[in-house]
Amino acid sequence: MKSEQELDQAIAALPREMQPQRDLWRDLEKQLPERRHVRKRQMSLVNQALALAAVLALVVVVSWRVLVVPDNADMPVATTDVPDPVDDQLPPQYAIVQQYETLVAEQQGMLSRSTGFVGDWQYQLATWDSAIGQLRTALDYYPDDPQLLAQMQGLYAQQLDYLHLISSVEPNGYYYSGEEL
Amino acid sequence: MSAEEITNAVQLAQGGDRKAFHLLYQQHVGRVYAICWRLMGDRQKAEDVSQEVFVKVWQCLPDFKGDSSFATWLHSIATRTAIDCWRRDKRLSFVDPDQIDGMFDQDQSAAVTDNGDAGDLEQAIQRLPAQAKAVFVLFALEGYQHKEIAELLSIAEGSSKAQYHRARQLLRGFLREE
Repeated sequence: MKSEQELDQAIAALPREMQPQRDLWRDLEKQLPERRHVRKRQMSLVNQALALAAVLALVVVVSWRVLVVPDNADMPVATTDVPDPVDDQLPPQYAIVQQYETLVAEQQGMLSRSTGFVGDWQYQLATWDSAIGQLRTALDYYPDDPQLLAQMQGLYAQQLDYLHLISSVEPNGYYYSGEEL
Repeated sequence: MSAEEITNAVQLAQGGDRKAFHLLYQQHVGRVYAICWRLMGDRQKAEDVSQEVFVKVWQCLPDFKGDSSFATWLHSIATRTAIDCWRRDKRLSFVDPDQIDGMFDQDQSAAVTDNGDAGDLEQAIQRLPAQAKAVFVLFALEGYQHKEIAELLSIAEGSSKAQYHRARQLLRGFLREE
């Protein structure tokens, strides 16, 4: 072989596959460990069920807010001192979001130290968050709809009330109303 | 096997179906064994490494997401496993390159020696020094780039290019002798 070209031709002619002289499968099959795929599938079903339950809860909450509580007058009023959501600089929904998110974050910050005794509070808050998210989506299309704005404010108020409630419960179960001060 | 059949077999094997995995084994054992034999230069070792490759593939199969083709994914495992074994093989590391001639498996190479120049070349490749052989096999036969080879063999990219150039020179010399 004298030239590079001849070498390249010989390389190109080499087979890309070679068959082993004995059947490797018999020994190989014995070495394959069992696959624990059944357990993984069960976990997957549990996750699916949880996801379905969360979606149903969200639908119920949103439906209840939209159908059963139709106007602003019936909305629950926050028991905390909440600033007026109307802000000249921002669209109404952003003003509400800005004001309440700050309060909710402050309240949550106070909770973080001892919350094991109040159960699934994070799930509850997530449900409200989801409902608020749905309303924000609707407000993107109807930014000045008073009913939607009132509903969003109402949901934030509920969320804040709930946070106040669970922050008033001592780990021993004693309900601290604040009037003791 | 069609692409659809391979996809089905992969999905079944991911769920633990050994028959489906056997189909995949049959489809790919030739290519896996080829790289193992060319790197190891020994039939018994090539068989052991090939089995190790397929055990790894079986173990990793549930994590295969289909981002690349199954063949590419399997071939990547085969290459890395074969190189790990090649690196562990102390015999190749300590042998004087001048003494390597004749140490490779004559039986296996006989399978391709009837194929004219290709058969001669197959034997000549096995006479190469270990690292030059690995670089040559990976670049010329397996289609890896020098940058990838450098990473696989833990050498500099420039070394990979130099070893490939050296391998070609040696091969031409070996083939001129024959």
